[in-house]
Amino acid sequence: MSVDLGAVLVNDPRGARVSPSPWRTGAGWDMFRALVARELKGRYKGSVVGFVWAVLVPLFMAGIYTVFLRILAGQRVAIERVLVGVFAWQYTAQCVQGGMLAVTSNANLVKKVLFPRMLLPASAVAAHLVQYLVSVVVQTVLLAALGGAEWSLRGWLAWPLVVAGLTALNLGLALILSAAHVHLRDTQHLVGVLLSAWFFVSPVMYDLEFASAVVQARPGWAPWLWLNPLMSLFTAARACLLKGAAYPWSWASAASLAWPAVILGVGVLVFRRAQRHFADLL
Amino acid sequence: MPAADPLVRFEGVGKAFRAVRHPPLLAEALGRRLARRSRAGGRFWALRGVSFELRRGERVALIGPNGAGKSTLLTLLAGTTEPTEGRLEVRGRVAALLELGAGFHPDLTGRENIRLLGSLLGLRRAEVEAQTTSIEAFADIPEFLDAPLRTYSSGMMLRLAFAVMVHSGPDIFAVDEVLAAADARFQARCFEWLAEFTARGGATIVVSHVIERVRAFCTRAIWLESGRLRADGPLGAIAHEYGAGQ
Repeated sequence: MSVDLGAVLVNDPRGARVSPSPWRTGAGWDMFRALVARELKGRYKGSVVGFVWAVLVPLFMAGIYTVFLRILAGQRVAIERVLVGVFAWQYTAQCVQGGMLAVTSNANLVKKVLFPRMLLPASAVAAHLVQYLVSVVVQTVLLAALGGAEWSLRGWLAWPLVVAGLTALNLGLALILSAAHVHLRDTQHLVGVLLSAWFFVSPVMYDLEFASAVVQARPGWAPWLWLNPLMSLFTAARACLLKGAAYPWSWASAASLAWPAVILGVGVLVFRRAQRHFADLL
Repeated sequence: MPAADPLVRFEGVGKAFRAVRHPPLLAEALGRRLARRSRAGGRFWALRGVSFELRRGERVALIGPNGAGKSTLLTLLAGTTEPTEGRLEVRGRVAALLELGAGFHPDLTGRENIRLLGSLLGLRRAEVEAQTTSIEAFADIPEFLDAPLRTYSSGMMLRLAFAVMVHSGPDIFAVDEVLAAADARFQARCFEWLAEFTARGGATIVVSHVIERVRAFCTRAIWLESGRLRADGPLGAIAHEYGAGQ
């Protein structure tokens, strides 16, 4: 037995505290890596084409939306705009749905093993980020083939910032929803409904120009557009990658880009408060 | 570090649960608010006023009937829940083998699960890699290491979990009736390892409601009943009284 005692746990009504924390010893990052690996490996184990689904699913979705949009709205619908929108939406939707279950689906782990609970939603989001980045490679190839891509240095430098913003938003939502789902099982059903509504008010199948046109007919609606964090993020994504798309800078549109930081901050606070009671409620 | 420093110290620890333990549905939560019933109303003390110390080299049996608070005590020890009152301190790593499959993923192979559980128990990646051979040897199920965990029998799952925990550098090792899933030979090996571990300065807690099962191994017994510490002392002395009450 080594003399080094490792960690000291103090547990009282203020909560369990371990020193040194796994983040200081570096063990936290190894746990994170192991959990992300579990997410990615576990997700496609037993399926024939495995990881290819990460690309196939958004591809099918983009295909379906494009076909139906063309039937409904005519040949004007730009495939490349739908493509960028759908791929990014898939990333957010999967993070919301998967992240929400991150704690409840790991009940036995949360009850038996002490580790930073935030790693559960964080690893779920990280695994979806990896999938998204893989699908972005396919997206880039398709955009190049369709001829709609804008190859500008500025765009490619700003693009990682957009992905970072989207990831912060997704992580913030996953933190809030995973904690909420432990305390209130209604969360799952509510989120299902809200997610569909969010899809339609976000520029996934359409873009900002379309939304602006709709809004113009209704005075007083315009500023509300930017209350949707995905309005700014998806518009920025298209501005980075596509020809003829630009980000319409205004106070409202600039402020909208701060959403991810706000949601992530709220998510961390909410999760920290809620996590003390996880093991009692699961 | 003075040798007298205990590994574990419980000071008047109590743990209360709300009487309704499943999370309320929205309607229930709202209903309760409207009815102005206090949320603290229906409290259930799973554990109360429990104080004891655990030192290096001790082999303790945690005994008591179902619902006595044994599992609650272990979750407090592991730090996954916090006490409602009192305070406890644990100096060192706790390995608690309490439920088969905790920390494992059913679709990953045995080898992948070794890495996963090892990391969650606080081992660095390099440490897991360095010990993989030794872990696999301890589990002794070479033909199944590349099969997904869902194909494992409970005995095989136990072998894998025990093997990883043995290598996680614990100071305190807690096991309960899950050990019964193992065959006699592996059980003997587990207790052999635990004896060696305790001799090297670790502390072992064996949880059971049947005192005969722990008699051969443990020297001290902590007897819980209805959340209270009923007795704490040499196992031989307690066994008689406990046996009479069963």
